[in-house]
Amino acid sequence: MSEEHRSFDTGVSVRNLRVDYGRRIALHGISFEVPGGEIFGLLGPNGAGKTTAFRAMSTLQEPTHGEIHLAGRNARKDPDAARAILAYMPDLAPLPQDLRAEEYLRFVAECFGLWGKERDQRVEAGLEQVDLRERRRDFCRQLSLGMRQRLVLASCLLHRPLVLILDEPASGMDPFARAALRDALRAQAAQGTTVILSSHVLSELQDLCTSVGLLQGGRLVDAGPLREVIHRQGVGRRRLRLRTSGPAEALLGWLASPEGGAPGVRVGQDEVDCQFAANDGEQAAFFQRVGAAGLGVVAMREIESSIEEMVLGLHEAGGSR
Amino acid sequence: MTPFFSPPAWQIWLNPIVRRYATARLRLLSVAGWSLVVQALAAFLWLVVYFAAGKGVDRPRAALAAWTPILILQGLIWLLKGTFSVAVGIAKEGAEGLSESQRLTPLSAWQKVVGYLIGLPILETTLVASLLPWSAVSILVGQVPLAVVFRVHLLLITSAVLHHSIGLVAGTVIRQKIVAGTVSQLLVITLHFIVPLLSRFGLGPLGHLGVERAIAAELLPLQGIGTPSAKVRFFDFELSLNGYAWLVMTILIGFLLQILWRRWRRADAHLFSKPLALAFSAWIIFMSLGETFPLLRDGTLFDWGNRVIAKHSHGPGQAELAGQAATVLTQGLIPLGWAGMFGCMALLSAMILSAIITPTLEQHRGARRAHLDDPTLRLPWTGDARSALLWTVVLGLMALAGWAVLVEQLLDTPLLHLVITPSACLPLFLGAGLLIPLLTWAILLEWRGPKTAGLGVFVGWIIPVMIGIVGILSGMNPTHWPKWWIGLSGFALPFYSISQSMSGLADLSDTLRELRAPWLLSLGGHAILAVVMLFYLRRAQRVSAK
Repeated sequence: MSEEHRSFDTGVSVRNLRVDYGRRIALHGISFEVPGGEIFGLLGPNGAGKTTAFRAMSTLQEPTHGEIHLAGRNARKDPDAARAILAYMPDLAPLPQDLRAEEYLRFVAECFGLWGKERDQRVEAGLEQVDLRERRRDFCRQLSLGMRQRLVLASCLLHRPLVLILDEPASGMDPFARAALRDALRAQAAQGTTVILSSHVLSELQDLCTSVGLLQGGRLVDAGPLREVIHRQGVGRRRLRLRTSGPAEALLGWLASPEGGAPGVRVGQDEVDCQFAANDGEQAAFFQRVGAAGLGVVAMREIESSIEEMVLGLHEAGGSR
Repeated sequence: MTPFFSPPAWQIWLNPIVRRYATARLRLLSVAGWSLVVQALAAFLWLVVYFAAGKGVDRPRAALAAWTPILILQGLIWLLKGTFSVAVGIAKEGAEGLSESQRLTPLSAWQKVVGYLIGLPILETTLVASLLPWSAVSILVGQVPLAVVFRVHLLLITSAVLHHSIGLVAGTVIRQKIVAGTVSQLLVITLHFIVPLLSRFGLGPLGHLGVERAIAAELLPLQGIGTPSAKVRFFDFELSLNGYAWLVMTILIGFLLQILWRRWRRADAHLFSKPLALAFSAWIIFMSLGETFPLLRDGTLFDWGNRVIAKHSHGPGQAELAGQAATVLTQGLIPLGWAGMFGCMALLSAMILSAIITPTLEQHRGARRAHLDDPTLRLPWTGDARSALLWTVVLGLMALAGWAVLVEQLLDTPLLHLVITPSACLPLFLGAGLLIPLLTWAILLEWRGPKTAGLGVFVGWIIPVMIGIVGILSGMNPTHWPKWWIGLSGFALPFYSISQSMSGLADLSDTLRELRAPWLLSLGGHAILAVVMLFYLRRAQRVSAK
């Protein structure tokens, strides 16, 4: 990605964004910045405020307070200018049932000021990109859920937006379509488009996102490059699962002691999970200490940390509050 | 990023929304099917009328007569079916979320309004256009002057735009497509059959929204029926009926388009901005006064009272009795009742406009929180989230001015000015009778929202009147407890205020004096209630932002 694309003139800046629904505060003054050309994942459990944030950024929801700049345009003061460079794909976006796939793309292209040959070329390219050329004459109502999602994605990319916001874009898509979606989003980001998305398929986000934001209860808990956020949220710590030949009480006691140094949690009759900040050398030493302590440990394995655990951790933290 | 080319709103053939509906609704099979039905009907109607009317009259006259069913058919397709398509179409777009997608496109709000207004009824417009050859034959054979042809079609087109604007507003406000379609049809029926009845009682401008009168005024003289140029009396002027009807429709279209424009700019915008509500109120009052004054001056406003008496006075010995009753009615009850009715309608219209511009407590909370977060943020005076109380006072003063001018004119008429003496406190009494209930309503509305306020009005203002009416009809003396029940209602206060502003009504003065106590009690009660609610409203607004 070239350096010129990584400026905030082509990126997204959200400052102190607050949205109230009646008495309920859906977003508590969240702030984050995404440079142009980044793929930013907004993560959080259901009801965390992701869709509200997307709708506010897309000019569909009037915020109670805050500033939103999309590629240098003030989305609150000049929404029309923001809309010209923005594409928003809501979760299960609607399509007009009385239009054919290509007619719909032509309509969207004209709404974004594309006419004549330019319009026709972009429509062709869009159908090609989402693999719907064969179904171009089908009415939108005749398409499957995944095909509709692909058609909406094509319509979002027609005018080559500088900011692309996608709420659960992979809903209803098969694995092939998901792979195509990932390729399409990477290609957009490579061209300098800022991509902001959410997905329940968190493993996909891990592959795709360059940075993430964690939302919980309308608050932005953390935001930044993916690795840094995972590390800060504690997911970067090593997690080990140990199985004992007998009851795990002795092992739990030893883990909690200064010698063990990694408080554990029982996850089964004879299984304990423990977590500690360590590198490979320290982990090897830990294995030796466990063996030497004679606790009857018969198996040890590392549990891979993931973005999914991070979100689950958030959800549990929210539930315990 | 693509350089954006946005065609001007008036280039409707380049409007993407019009093109989208032209694509979807003008598919060959659909148009062919509808055209077959419409052309067959048109052919049948034209030929039947032509041959039926042709017996005994010359060909031009028969061809002219055959134009009328074609115009009616065009009216039914365009005004009835077209309005239904518009209301259902836009409600469906809203319910399915397509309006939101449309909101995200960088087309201007005007382009979107014009696009839906022209695009949604495009099938009906095409069908109406397909009937033009039948009109052309009638016009050519019937030797209709081109000026008449132009005026008739201008009125028809204006009426269609008005109807479609109404449908678009109905479908925008009501998100259920069946309800929106039904409401749009009810509005069309109201516009053509119920509103003209109201126009007889001084709401003249409303009578011109149905367009039939104006078109009939153009066509009938050609067939030797009616006067060549029908007129409308407006204050001291005599205006051409069709020009006046066109003007009334055009101004109303302007207000409706403003509503749609505001809604496309912001989904949660009030239908009227606060200044626009004042302008609308001023327009309604001005037009009503303009049409009522001539009716007042020649006494025709009260003709229906005399007609009712005449209808029920055919028995032996009834004539003298009827004469006395007519005197009491035309010189007392009817003018007073009518003046009270006008005050009540002025109150009601101010209440409706107040409900449109009043912010919810949530809107107020949002604005206050934003201000607390950033003290430099100040809402403009005209902002939707601003309190509507002062604006409601202005609305009330405008309604009061209109009402007072009308009452003054009423008392100036030759019929009444020798009989009734207005009290020196007339403006004060009228003001109290209109402003106190209006402010009570406005404060409740802003404090608890439209549902609670509506329920409050039903329980506090409508049920007592119902109880009072049942009491009177069951044989109770109206001056006993029914006067107290009815007096509880804010809607009754304009009537009571009028009754306390007059003297000299020999037969009625005792009765009117009986109303003084409930009138004062009701005014006082409403005033105290308004002050208490204002206190709670202010407290709720202060607390809401925390």
